Amino acid sequence: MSYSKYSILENHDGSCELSTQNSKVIVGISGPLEPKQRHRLPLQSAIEVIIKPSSGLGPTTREVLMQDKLATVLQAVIVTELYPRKLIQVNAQILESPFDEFGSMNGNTFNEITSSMIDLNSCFNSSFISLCDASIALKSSFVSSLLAITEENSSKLINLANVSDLDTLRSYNFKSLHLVVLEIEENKPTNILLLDSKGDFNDDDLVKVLDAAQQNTSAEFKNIRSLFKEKLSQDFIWKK
Amino acid sequence: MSVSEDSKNLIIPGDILACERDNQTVDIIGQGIYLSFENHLYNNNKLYPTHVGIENYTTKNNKVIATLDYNSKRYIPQQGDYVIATVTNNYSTHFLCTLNNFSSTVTLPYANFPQATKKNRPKYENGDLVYCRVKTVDTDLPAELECMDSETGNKDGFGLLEQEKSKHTAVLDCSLAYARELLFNDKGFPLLSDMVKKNLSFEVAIGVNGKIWISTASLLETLCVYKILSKCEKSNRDSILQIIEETVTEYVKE
Repeated sequence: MSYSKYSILENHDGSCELSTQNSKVIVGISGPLEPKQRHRLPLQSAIEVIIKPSSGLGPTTREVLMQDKLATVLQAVIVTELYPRKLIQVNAQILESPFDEFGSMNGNTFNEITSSMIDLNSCFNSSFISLCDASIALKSSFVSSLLAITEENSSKLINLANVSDLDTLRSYNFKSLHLVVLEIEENKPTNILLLDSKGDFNDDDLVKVLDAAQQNTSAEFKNIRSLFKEKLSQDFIWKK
Repeated sequence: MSVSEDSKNLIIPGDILACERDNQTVDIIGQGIYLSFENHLYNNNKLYPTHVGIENYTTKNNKVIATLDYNSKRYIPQQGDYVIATVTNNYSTHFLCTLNNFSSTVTLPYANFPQATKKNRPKYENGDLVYCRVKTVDTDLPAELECMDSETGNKDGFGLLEQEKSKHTAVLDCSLAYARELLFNDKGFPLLSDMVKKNLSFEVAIGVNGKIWISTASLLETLCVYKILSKCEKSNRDSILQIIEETVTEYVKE
């Protein structure tokens, strides 16, 4: 389960710090802003996503790939035609990543992939709460889940957001990794907004992953709903 | 028949609205509810909520109005709103103003001042605060402000918020719902009257773009009013009187 705090950056329109068992991300959203000329679209708003890594300098190729994935989902969810010629800026700073330690990749090529997928998963969930906090018009809700299938134990399914121990995380021998972003309408997961898979897998694996993702999404969304209930009572605290 | 009024449902984008569930016609849709062009054409006018808020149905002149109450920080101009604008630039026909930092600029034409003539132009400088009203909002143009009641041509309290001699002023940024409540619901939320009852003398101008301008006779009083207003934004209604009491004794000792 993830833990999130909203409205923590005073000068942003919306912000959220989200921590899962093994990662921590802070997202700030500003918008609708006056864009630069090159961002100005005549009939809809532009969405700019910037992800900063937990160590080292600004968006590298690893983060740019994450930015593009985040932007495609946000483009589908934000009601862009409500803010023509405006800019919605999404800034994400990764605070903690399980592979931060020097040399923690341990020569396993899968670790490199895992690390960016863990970060992206947190960025997705955090940016949804931030968008709601910033009162940007959304078509629907979305929740992201990161699931892995291991090679041993006859393909066990693991929710990576719940693995707290770095050593355990390293010890897994992943067969495939799946990042699933599901759209939620009327309290039910209805649509796949993004499905990003790495590794070897077959149809049955994918069906299993989607089933697990739906369950995880419903559980996380219940969490988010109670978070918003609290947020709303804080927003209108002077009313009672 | 009618949608249960004051149904206090928490709505998150993607949820179904009570009016949709009960197949109730809504005549006017307000903030937070959106009818997309696509739904208008193909989806039987399906409405969807776009923000996190509480759905609210009211009936006025036999028309059902649906709104979603939510709080936010960034103001988007709406026709008829009272706002505090900051002058940022001036041209031969109009001032350029901002309502929010980094938001698109809005215009305040010289013709929208009382007794406007070609020769008679108001002398505002960059950085000045002006209390005005949003006259028109067009999707393809910057919003236009006015500094008078355009029906009567009267000044009606609009104009420059200037610091008079021996006065101390400050501007407080607050959330939009709080500013609206202070401006329009003085009976239900008597914070300002309560402050006056405590012998605080002050002048305020509230813009629904989340700005409150305060002017009092002394610096301590300005600080006191500023503190009360910002503390009350984050506390329960029951504790308002106590906050006023405490802050007044802290800053303006009798």
